[in-house]
Amino acid sequence: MTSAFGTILKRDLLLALRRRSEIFTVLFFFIVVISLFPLGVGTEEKILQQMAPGVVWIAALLASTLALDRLFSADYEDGTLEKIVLSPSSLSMSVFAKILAHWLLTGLPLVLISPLLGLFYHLPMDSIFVMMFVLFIGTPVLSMLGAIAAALTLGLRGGGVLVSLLVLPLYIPVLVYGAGAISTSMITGVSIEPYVLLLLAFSLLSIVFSPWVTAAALKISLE
Amino acid sequence: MTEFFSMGGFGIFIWSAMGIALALMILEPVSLIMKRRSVIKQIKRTKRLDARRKQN
Amino acid sequence: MKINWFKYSAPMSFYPLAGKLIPLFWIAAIMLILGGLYWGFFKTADILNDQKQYYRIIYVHVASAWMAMWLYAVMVFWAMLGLIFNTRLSYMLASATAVTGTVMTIIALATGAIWGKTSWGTYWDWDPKLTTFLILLFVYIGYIALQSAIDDVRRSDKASALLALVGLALVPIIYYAVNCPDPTQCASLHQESSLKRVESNILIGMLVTTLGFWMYSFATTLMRARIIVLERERSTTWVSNLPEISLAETSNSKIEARTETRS
Repeated sequence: MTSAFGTILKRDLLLALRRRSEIFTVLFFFIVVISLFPLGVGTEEKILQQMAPGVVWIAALLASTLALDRLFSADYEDGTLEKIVLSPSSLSMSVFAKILAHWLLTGLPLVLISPLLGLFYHLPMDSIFVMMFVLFIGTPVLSMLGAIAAALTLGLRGGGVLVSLLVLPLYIPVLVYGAGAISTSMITGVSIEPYVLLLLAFSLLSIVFSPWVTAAALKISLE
Repeated sequence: MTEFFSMGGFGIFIWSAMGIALALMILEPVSLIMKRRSVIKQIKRTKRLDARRKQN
Repeated sequence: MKINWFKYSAPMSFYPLAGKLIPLFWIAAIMLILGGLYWGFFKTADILNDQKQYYRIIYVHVASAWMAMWLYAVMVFWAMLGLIFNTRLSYMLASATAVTGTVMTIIALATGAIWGKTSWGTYWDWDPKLTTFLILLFVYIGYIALQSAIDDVRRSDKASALLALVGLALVPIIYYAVNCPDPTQCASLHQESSLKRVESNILIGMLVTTLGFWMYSFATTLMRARIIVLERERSTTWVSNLPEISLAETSNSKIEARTETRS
């Protein structure tokens, strides 16, 4: 069981590192979206600081839904996915490996680049650290929930748009508490602990349940 | 009568709310009836084609 | 006495039964809605003075809002039944319910906005309950979009059923997040919904109208389910033996006329 997990994880990472441009496309999409906002609403420091938490999270949501299309589609087209589904090892573990690899390639880079964007929006140092932390615990939820939608829309025409329609409303709790944590971190004397605990709870719940649901969805789609 | 319809100045709000609800709740069954007609028409057409194919 | 419920899970026996029930539901719906509105409009004159006349919107608003939520539960129920017993009819009923649920959500949102204008002075406010209904609308639309995007009937049934279940699991979390953006306190423009505080004549109007909306939902859902049955079972013999499918003489002569003109 664990060996299938390790093999798939290693394979997905290796494949992605050979085609690095795909990682950078998502990353630059994130950066471009975030840089467009100040041009649209003005560059006043106060407004930017107030908007930053929401803008960062919405850009992260869009970037991660954009990347979902790639999660299963390449393996679906060359038949690898069918092999994984038919193999005797636990499907939800294999799916978990794929989602984890996907998060390492699309979620983690967003976390690492976010301090730069904090500077764009004149965020104080403490808030930048808070932002990195909540992105770190919040983006796995995006990959986990997104995987369900990606599995359900596998191989459909216009699947990319459909995935965003299905999955964006489900991201609302992460958006609310992720942005809330960054906003509160700019107010002195208010603890961000409740936000972080709720985000951690979502993260853990989605890690436990999503691979299992995604496996069921894949079986339906490949039947 | 006009007093009833004006409802203390809120008439336009109350009647437009009722109107939207009524319009949607008439539109839905009407569209269903039309859809049913077109489906039945289609099935009949294929049935007719089948019948004629058997004759020939 | 044991009733074989699975007998009615066959589309063949469902179709005529639904056909008989639909007119009854229509009659009940029209009578209950008219009765509820009559009660709400004319039996409450002493309570609803000039400043509170706008309360009359609430009969339609509450009825549609309750049905919008209830129909989601009904939809998930059929979807779950479909996944457990693998009965085709359950899936058909689930997808038939979704559209009526969407209509109810739209009515609830529209009347809610008008209600907001009269009581809060603004058409839209990011009030938790309004926001939740907006999200409910998105979830309904996502369900319908997924279903219509998949051509294979079996896959589309199962995939959308799974999506409905995922939605059910997440809706309480989303509701909590929208209600309490600050986890240490929750705020709402909506009055705490306790039915006890509502005046009994208004309550009667509200409940009777809701019952009427429920009957309406039964009627439209069954109508839609019958259409879906016809579409999916079109190649079976029982469908082509139905009286409404039989080729009447008039249509036959029309065909002959058409073939003559063509030749």
